[in-house]
Amino acid sequence: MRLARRGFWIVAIVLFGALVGCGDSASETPKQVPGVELTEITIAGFEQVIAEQKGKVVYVDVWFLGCPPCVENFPHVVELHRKHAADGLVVMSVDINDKELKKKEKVVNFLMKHEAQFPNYILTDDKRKVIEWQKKNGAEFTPGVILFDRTGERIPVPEDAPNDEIEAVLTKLLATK
Amino acid sequence: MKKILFAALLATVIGYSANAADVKSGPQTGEALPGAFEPFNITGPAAGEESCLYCRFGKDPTVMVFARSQSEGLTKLIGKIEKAVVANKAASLGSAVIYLDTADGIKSSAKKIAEDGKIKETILACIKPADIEEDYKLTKEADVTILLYTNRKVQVNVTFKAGELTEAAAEKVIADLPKILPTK
Repeated sequence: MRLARRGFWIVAIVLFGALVGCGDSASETPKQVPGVELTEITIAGFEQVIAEQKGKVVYVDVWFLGCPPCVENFPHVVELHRKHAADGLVVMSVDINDKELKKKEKVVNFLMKHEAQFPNYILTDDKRKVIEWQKKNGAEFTPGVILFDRTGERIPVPEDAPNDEIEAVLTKLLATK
Repeated sequence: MKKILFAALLATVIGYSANAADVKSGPQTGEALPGAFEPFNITGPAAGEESCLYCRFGKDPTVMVFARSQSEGLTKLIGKIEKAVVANKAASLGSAVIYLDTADGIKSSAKKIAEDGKIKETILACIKPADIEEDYKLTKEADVTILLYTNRKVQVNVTFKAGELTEAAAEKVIADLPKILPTK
């Protein structure tokens, strides 16, 4: 994790100014939440992060803020983290489309609002590379889920799989020590 | 009388086919949509924000219109699409008109069209041409590119040069809707 972060700009989301300057009304400004970070990363860096998680089950939420179904699904992702982190589940979010500073600030606000206290990344590669990466990982359509078992093997998740089915798969994977 | 009606129908069909063949723009029939893009939503649930309509409609049957300019024909088409969407709510038919122009004039005229025509379901949006033309292969000659798709795959592609989108042509587009709607 440390390696992947080195050399990349870590977005200091605790900067109050960024939150205030987001353009939303003051009432929409979320409270500061410790442990919520948004980190810029390349695909190569992110793959290294995943490789470092062997021994754990990893759930990656592929999303972006301008994607209505992604936003709708995000509370479920947070809930998965709350329910299963203690059992060895590592939840991560990967934003594929909000590189611009203005958008990044809104993403930070969103993550704070939902108390997304798990690793949150934003991919910095160009659009075409990101699409290729999504396809390679079975997450072409957003919101997408990329799932890894404890050995680091990717477990295919059908595009239309309902959340409860995915959670059932997760529970089984977590039970495998 | 029958002959006149037949001739008028034939002229409409020929005209429509000729338009479709004249200009090639957008993903073609059988092709998948190129993917996510974030137009500024002028109306709809995300009005005032950049929001991905491709993502919103997902695999649902959808009418997606890309327009370079406002015209009477387009306004009529929007009205007809709206009616069709309301009539096919059970099929989750989605619809959007995306102007390839982000000028304030387009935004205000789109709002007026929505207000005057009581357009509630069809989302009106706009995007800078440079942000979509290449990915969606939208050609300059096409003033209006209409995609009827389902499961993110185009079933009907119709394009019109400036001034060619007539009410009759709009009606023909609507007549193609069963191609994307679930069979009863």
